[in-house]
Formats: sequence, C-alpha cells, structure tokens
Amino acid sequence: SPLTLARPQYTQPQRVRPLAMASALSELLFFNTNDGYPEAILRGYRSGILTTQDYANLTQCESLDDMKLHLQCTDYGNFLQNEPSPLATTVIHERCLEKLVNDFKYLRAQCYEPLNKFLEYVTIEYMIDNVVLLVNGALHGRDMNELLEKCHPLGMFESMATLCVAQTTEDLYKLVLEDTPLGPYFKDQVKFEDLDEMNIEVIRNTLYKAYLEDFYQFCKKLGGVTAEVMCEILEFEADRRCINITINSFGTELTKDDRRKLFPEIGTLYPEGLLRLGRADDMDGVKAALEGFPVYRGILNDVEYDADKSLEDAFYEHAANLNKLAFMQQLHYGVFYAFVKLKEQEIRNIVWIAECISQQQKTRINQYIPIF
Amino acid sequence: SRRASRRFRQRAMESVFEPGHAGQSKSLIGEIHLARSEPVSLLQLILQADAAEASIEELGERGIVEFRDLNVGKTAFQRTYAQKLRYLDEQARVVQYIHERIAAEKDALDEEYGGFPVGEEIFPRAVADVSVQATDAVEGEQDGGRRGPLSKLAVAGMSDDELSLHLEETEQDLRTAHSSALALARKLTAAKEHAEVLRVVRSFVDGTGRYSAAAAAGASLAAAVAAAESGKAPEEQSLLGGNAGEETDEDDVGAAGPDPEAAWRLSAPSEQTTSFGYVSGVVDSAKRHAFERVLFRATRGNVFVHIDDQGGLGNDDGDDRCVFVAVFASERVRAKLGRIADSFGASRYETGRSLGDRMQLLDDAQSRIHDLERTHAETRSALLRLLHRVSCEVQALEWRVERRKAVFHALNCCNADITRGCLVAEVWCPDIFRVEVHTALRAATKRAGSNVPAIVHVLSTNHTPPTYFVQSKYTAPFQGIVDAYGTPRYREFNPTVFSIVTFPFLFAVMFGDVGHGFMMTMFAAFLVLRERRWERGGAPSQLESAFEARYLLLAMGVFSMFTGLIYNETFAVPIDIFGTKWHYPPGNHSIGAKESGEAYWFGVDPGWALAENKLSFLNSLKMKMSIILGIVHMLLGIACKLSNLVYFRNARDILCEVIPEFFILMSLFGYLVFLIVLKWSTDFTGKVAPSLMDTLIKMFMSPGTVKAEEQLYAGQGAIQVVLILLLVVCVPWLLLPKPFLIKRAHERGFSELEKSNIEESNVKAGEDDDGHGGEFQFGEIMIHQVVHTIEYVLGTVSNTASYLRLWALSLAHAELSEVFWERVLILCASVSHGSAGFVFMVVGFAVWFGLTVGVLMGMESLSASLHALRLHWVEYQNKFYAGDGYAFQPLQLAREPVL
Repeated sequence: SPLTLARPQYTQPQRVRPLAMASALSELLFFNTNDGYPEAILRGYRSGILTTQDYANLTQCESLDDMKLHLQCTDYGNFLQNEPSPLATTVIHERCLEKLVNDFKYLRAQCYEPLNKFLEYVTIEYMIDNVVLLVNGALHGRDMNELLEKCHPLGMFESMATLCVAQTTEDLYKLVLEDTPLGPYFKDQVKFEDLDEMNIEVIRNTLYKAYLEDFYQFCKKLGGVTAEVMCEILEFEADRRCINITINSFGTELTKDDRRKLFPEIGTLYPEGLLRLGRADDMDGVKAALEGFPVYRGILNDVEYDADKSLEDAFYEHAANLNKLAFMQQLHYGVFYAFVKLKEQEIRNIVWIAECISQQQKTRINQYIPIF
Repeated sequence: SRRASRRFRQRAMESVFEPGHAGQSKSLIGEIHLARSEPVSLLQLILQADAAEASIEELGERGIVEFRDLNVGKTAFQRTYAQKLRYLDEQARVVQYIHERIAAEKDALDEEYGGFPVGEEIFPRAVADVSVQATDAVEGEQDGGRRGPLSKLAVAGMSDDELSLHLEETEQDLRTAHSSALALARKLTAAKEHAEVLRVVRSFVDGTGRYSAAAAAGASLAAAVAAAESGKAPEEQSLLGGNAGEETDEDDVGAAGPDPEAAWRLSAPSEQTTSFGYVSGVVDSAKRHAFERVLFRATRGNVFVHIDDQGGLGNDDGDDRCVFVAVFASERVRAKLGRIADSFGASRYETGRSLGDRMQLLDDAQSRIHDLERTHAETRSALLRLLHRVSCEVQALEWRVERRKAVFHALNCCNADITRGCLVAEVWCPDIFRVEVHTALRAATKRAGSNVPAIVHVLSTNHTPPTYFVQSKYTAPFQGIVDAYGTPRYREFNPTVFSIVTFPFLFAVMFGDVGHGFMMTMFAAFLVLRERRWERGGAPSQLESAFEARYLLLAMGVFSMFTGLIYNETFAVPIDIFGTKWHYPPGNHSIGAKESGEAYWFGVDPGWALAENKLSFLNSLKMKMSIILGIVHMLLGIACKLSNLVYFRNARDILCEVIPEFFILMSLFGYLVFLIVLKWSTDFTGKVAPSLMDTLIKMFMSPGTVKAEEQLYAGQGAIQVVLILLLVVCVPWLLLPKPFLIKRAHERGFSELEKSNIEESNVKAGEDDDGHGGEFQFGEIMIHQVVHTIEYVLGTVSNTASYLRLWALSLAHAELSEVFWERVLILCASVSHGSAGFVFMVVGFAVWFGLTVGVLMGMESLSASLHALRLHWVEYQNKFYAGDGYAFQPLQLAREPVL
C-alpha cells in the first residue's frame, strides 16, 4: 500500500554528534575568512530593500514620475535619472532589474568557492527559463533579438542565441547546453526527440526537477546552517512546483504517469503527498491530496476565501516569508538566495504598483506582497 | 560607558542652559570669537509668495541661514513644489546627457580644438570671451530675458521655460548629430568589413595574396571550392549575375543589411552534390572560439573554418573582429551555418560567385569606403563643432539648474500659507548675520517688485541651535582636526583655541630638528605663497590635502625649528652658537670634560653631542619634560571644563567634579612635576641624587617616612602624607555628592527645567532616545558617576603615561636622523679621497637626502602628527569636551558656475 511509504512526520530527537559540532564550530570560526566580505555586502543590500513605509509612500503616488521621485530617496537612487519623462512601466522594470543584476554580478565577483558555485545555482533557474523562452520563440519563428531582450539577464550565458538553430532536443544539447551548467541535467533526464510545445514544457519541468534536486543535494553537502535554511526553502519550491504542475496539467495530454515523473523528489510532499497529487484529476483532488499538509491547506483555504488573491500570490507570499526568515541566521549562504528572491519580489511589487498607477486601478494597488 | 558618561555630561549641561541669556555672561575667553560658537537664533521669515524665490536666492547667495524642514512628515512628492522639481529634474537630465556626450568625445574634442580643455576648465576662457560682450550688453538692461551667446549672464537671465526650450533644442540637435554620425560610422565599418571579407575570400578561395600561406591547411579544400566555382560559373552567371549586381548598386551604404541568402545562392550551386560551399562574414574575436566549436558540433566536424584576424577590424565598442570563412561539403548545412553565424552576431556579406565578381565587389566597396569616409568626417566635425559650442555653456547650464533645484528644495522646507499668499520659513541664523538677512530680504523684495516686505520674527525655542564659528584660513585646519572628533556642542568651549598652539607644539616636541623643521617650513611657505593662484584654480591633486593644511604645516615647521634649537640638533648635528660651556682637557679626548659651572645659554649644550652618556642625559631630560608638558596640557583641559561650567553657571559640577579632579591630578602627578623641577634646580654636587621613581613609590608604600639621604626638601614626609590624604578624600568626593545632589534636587521638585530639557532632547533628536527618557532613575545616574570616577582616576595615571610618547617619538626621530647622518653621509664622505671620494660623496648625499625626505620628513612627520592628534583627542579633550553638536549648514548658492 502506498501509505506504508509515508515517513513519520515527527523529527528525531537530536543527539549531540561530535563531528557535527566540530563542523558547526569550524563554520563559526572560518566562515568569515572567505565569505565574510560578500555577506557584509549582501547585508548592506538587504537594508536597501524597500520597507513598508516606502510602499505606503509609493502607493500614494499619482503618477509614475511621483514614483520616480520617491524611489530616488531609496536605495535605488538615481537609477531612473537618465530616462526622459513620461516614464513607462517597462522602463522601471528594466532599470530595477538592471540594478539587481549589477548588484548580483558585483557580489559574484567578490566570492570564492563554494559560494561562487552556490550563486551559479541561483542563476540556473533563470537559465532554464531563458532556454525554454528561446526555444519556444524560435519554434514560433520569432525574432531572435527580440527574444534575447526578453530573457532574464541573470540567466544569460554565452552562445545562448545559438539555441534558435536547434530543431531537436539533441541539437539543443549538442550545440549549446553541453557547455552550460544545464548540460548534466539535460543529458541524464531528457529524451532526445523533436521539439514541440508540449515537449518544451516537459523539458522545462524535467530540467527544474533535476535542478532542484541537484541544488538540494548541494546544499545538504554544504551542511550547517546553509543546509538548514536552504533545504526548507527548496523543499517549498519543490512542493510549489508539484502543485502547479498538477493543476496546470488538467485538461492537457499529459498522462498521470508522465506527470508523476516531473515531480521533484524532495520536499515535504514527497513521497506520500506526491503519490496523492499524482492521482488527482481536478482541483478537488488536489485539495484532498494536500489535506494532510497544514501549510498548503492553509494556502489553499486563503485563496478560496480571498477573491483578490491568486494561488500564485499566496505562494509568493509564503516564499517571501521563508526568504525573510533566512536573514534571521548568520554565517550561511541562504541569505544570498533569499536576497535575490526578495529583490525579485520587490521588483514585482514595484511593477505592480506602477501598473496600477498607470492604468488607474487604484483600488487594487495594495495587493503587492510586503517584504520588510 | 564613554558614551553614557558623555551623555550624562550633556544633560548636566543642558540643565543649566537657557537659550536667552547665555551670550551675556562673558569671561575672558568668552570674548574670543573662536572660543564659543556664535549665538544662533531661530528666525521666522514670512515671505510674500511672489518674492519667495528671489528671497531664497538672495539668502542662499550670502550663505547665512540654515533652513529647518517644516514638512518632515511629508514625502518628496507631497510637497508644494514637487511639480517644479520634477520639471527641473528633467532639465538636469538633459544637462547630464550633454555632459555624457562631451565626455564620450573628449579625446576628439581635445584634438580638434588644439588641446583646448573641455569640461571643467573650458569655462573660464569661454566665459571670459563671451561675458565681455555680455556684460556690456546686460549692464544697461537689468534682468532682460536676453538670449544669444549663452554666457553665465545670459543663462542666469533666462526664464525656466526658455531654458527648458533651449535645453530641449540642444538635446535634439545633439541626438540628431550623434545618431547620424553613428549611423555613418556603422555604414563605414560595414563597408570596411565587406572589403576585408572579400579580400580574405579572394585570397583563401582564389589562392592569391597574403592569405594563401595562412590557408595552407585548407589548401585542398580551397582549391576544390575554387574548382567547383570556376566549373559552374559560366552557366550560373547569366542567370544570377545581373541580379547580384543590382543589389550591390542599390545597397549603396554597403552591406549594412546584407541579404546573405542571395550570396549563398550565388556562391555555390545546389544541384552540384560534390561541390564545396562556404559561408563567410565577420564575427567578434572574443566569440571566435565558441563559434568554431558550435560550427564543429553542428556539422559533426564536417566543416573547415578559416579565421583571419589580420584585417584590424573592430566594432563600435572597440572590440576586435575577425573574418571567417567556413567551408563545407554538403549543401544541407548551409542554412544551419548561416543561422549559427547570425546567432553569434556575425555580419555576413555578399562575396560574389567568381573571381571577377569579387574584384567588382571589392572595387565597389573601396569606392564606397572612400565616399563614406568623407561624409563621415564631415558629420563628425559638425558634431564636434556642436559639442564644442555646448561645452562652452554646459557649466553655466548646470550651475543654473542646480541652483534652481536648491532654491525649490529650500522652498519645500517652508510652510505654504495659500490663503494669505505667503510662505513661512524657519531658519537658523547666527546673530552676526541678522542684519544681512534683512538686507537680503529687502533686496529680494525690490528685485521681485513686491509691495509687501518680508517679515522677520525671532522665535524662542527648545531646540539646540547649530554650531557656527567664524573661521579664518589660519584657524580652519585646526578646527577641522577638532571637528573630525566631533562638532562642538552649541556654545561649548572650543578646543581649537588652544589646539592652534598646542598641536604644532606637541608635534614639534616629537619632531624637534632645526633642519627638518626648516624643510617643513619652506614647503609650507611655498604652499602659502601659492595660495592666491591655487585657491582660484585648484591645487594639483597630489598637493591638495597638504595645501588645505598649509598653515598647520607652517606652524608645525616653525615650532619644530624652535624645539630643534632647544634640542640643539640640525640634521642630528649640534650647532655651537654660544660656545660649549664644557671644558675639554687639551690633547686627550677620551678623558671626561669638565663643567665650567656655567649653563649653556639656550637649549642643550652642544658638548653633549660627542659624549658617551649623551643618551642617558637626553632620555632623562626628555622623559621629565614629557611628563611636565602632559600635566600642563591636562590641567589646561580641566581649566577648559571649569570655563564651561562657569559659562553655563553650573556651581554643582564645579564643586563636585572640577575641584576633586584638579586635586586628584595635582596630588599625584602635579607633585611629581614639582619634584622634577626641584631636582633640576638643586645642586647635587658631591651627593647622590635621590631617584624620583623611588620617591614616588615610597610615598605610597611607606607614607610619612623619608630617609634623610633621599630627602629633597625639609618636611617632605609630612607633605606627602597630606597629599595622600587629599587623594583619598577626593575619590569619594568625586563619586558621591553629585548623584545625591541631583537626587535631592529632583525630590524637591526643583528639576522642572532639567526634566523638560531631557524630554525635549529625546523628542527632538530621536537618536539619543534609549527608552529611559524623562523618568528619573537614581541608579543610572549613580552608575554614570561611578564610571566617570573610575575613568578619571585610572585616566590620571594612564594619560600621564601616554604623554611619554613625546619622549619616545622624539628619541626615535633623533636616533634615526643621527644614523642617517653618520652611517650614510659621513661614512660615504670618509671612505676614500680623490675622484672616487667625489663619487662616493655624491651618491652618499643622494641616499642621505632621499632617506631624510622619505623616512623623516614623510613617515616620521606623519607618525608624529598622528600621535599629536591622539594626545589632543584623547588625553586633552576627554577632560571636558562633549563634541556632540551639529554644524551650521547654510543654504549656499554659488553666484558663479563652480569650476
């Protein structure tokens, strides 16, 4: 019976293991040797994240130029200085993103291994999205340069443009991805066949699964507080993906078996929740499957009772909370991941507010997700 | 604990501070302007709306008032003039754009206009020319919105809308000129690339020219391509040749938008399965390896890539580009290779099908390059002309925009009273500028043509006013040293008054040498003489900080010469000015010199220079001198505290702090100073002089008893007992009464003023609110006093010891300079004679001089000034200095563009 696979949910009482203690101690002693400086920079960046007060001010703006005026008083500084009025939302988005990317690149230039590797993992997610975007665009005959502009700058890699040449998954791998960090995921996980839309989605999710599992193992290997913080965040990411895949697969050709193969095998839902999710046929099935998981039950309930909130928003909110918690501890890499995620959330918030202002939808302006 | 005790002092001081009449009590040093910051009052200005801008400008140009923000709660865009500021931001953006364009073309402008400096320094000359005519013109018509050659006056006279229009036009012109120059440059690059591709293809495929050797590896392939081509050429040419020719002619800007597919069709016929085809173009050198790799993978190795980077091609960003020719056998990969090339950002060009075609294309490209180069040069020079004109006025434009922005930021700090059509501003104004404020406001009212004058009220306030001193160029660097520690509190005694003398003096004690002092004086004098020139034009960047501190350096140099005279050292050599008072027995120098019974008239006797016991003599002298100087310096600190307390009328702290502190210092080390002087002035001939160290230790170990042979004066034992008792009494005196007096005052309810002051300071500052605001907590006050007592008593010992650094640094300096003198200069001079001796002498002198300048004048002087700095900040200022004021920051608008 599948139920026998379920792991007990309680945690085992912790015994004091000398080795673990030694490793914790060495982390305490030596963390700052290599990682102190990047962490210090990062903590500085973190204090630049917009506060509730800032959001309160932003939501009172009458126009995008007002927003610019206020954002000038924050850490964003004069990032919009050279933009002629009137501003467009896309410009604000681009500039915000540019600042994030510059900060991230600066940070990455300052760090040693394994932090560098860790930061590379952070970018892989965007690489996957970019690859899928490009391949999909090329399939529909879109202009390459236009597509490249739409790519997330954190996920850029060399010879990315060559992706459009690929006709089959094999091309994709051999021509481009072999040299990138995505190579191994691709080789092990993806069947070589012709590209079509369905395929691409499957590839995206397969890559994500491989990526999440790999990242999870990597964090585990790093151990210490990093593992503690990152595993929690990544488990949530995995759960979220599983739920999303399930919901999005309703009414498509994806068989339940194939669907199950796309679930990352980490996270709190694994294995029992995934088994149940794998059997779900509709939204009610998903709810039933998640009944035993208070966090997700709560999120689903929230969404049900709050008409303004989408499931995506609820997930973002929970993720933002987890990422916020990462800053409660010190001497670990989780903050680097959390910072990028929080900053992304902040950019989404700014863009949301800007959109609301420019489209005169003041009533919905408060639906952003506050961070600090 | 330090902060806590300082805060405590602050409260104590605030408790007696009353804003109104503080200036009336005048002690001797109270009348020195530098000793206490200028009285500053809070003025309320009621400005008529139509004269408001003019008023702010007039006030700002004089730099006499600091605006208080009356709209603290409001965000930037909720303020009255947010709209206006946004408008000015737009102007600022254009100015920024102009700056960027000028900076981008700086080299070209330099070249074009004969090294005429662009940017910062262009203004004086440009304005000098223009303003001569402008002054004549404008002098007659006041405030006429004149346009024309945009001098400072013209820019200043423009209305905001005119300026906006002007900026908009300038930006438009610049953008057009820039983009057309850029487009032409691109076309030119494309044409050059095309020519280069043709050359490479010609030599590679046709086997001619300099490239044939490079292509050796692909020789057979190349030959095959050529063969296939020449075989096929006759039939195909008739079909497609005309078509290709047309395309080339039409596309006169060169293959800016090359149609590669046409080239493919031309270069290899599709039905010929055995023929070779090629794809050629230009790719960034940086991407070259990745490109080759992808080509290899995409065709499973069935491609030969020839790369040629000899052409010297480059793109707009200055990155190198290289020509590639990819030869393949199978037609099927052609499209794929083309797409890969495109995805690498390669530009592909038409290459024709035969040698003849290529010759023709090459000729076309060459003539196109020729034409384009001419057009491009013309466009460029037009752009540069435009930029040059703009660069003459950009400083004025920037000055104007920034000034307007500052005015509206200041206006945003005011309360707008719409109903009465006026603005209410609150400003801090030093009392000495009060009259000038009225003058400025009158001038503004007149300028704006307003009927109603501005109204000025003096407000009474509980806020602490800002600290403002009238500085001269001589006192400014000294004040800078003090401010680096902390800005003096409002009306607090300013340590700068004494630092002006003590800082260079303590430095000189450590740096005492006539020669080195002279060098420093000369250097400082040079800076001082350059003052007029460099204050206007700016000092060279290496000397900038030295120039700022020129008077400090001058004083340090002069004082060093003085102490050098006392130590009698000139580059470590004594000068025998008055003749040594030691008698040397003739002939034998190893015998000790005899005293003449007379003292050398000034400073150290030069006779000590060669003495074996020179060091022990000088050490004893300098050590004792350090302690004396230290005690005097610290006493000065206590005197400053007394002056503060008298000024603020705080009798309690005088009785409970200053007096015990004075006795603690005097009973221990003050007594030591007395002993030192006594011992110096006693003749011990024939007796053994008692050790002062022993005397001081025994004073505490066996109080009351002094051995007869160790006695320095009669009644020594009894006096020492009295001193110890005084010390023992003073510690609890310092510790206990003050907290209890405060407590009693509080309990009697007499502390209303104090309480309100404390609350006020917490409300207004916010930063020193630690959550124990107005409540009276005896424990806390007691703890502060305990901390202060411990700090003071321990500090008495440790601070005195700290002054021994004067001796240590001075010793190090003297020894170093002696080593350099004897071991380098004298050694080299005495090595040999004749011409070799001359060489040695020259080399030795160079080495000695280098060491003197580098080590002694550079490093040693730096270390001595740092130690002097520390002695002031820590040992001296901790006796009295609160240093928690905030500086007066007036609105300061430049009258002229800042250069």
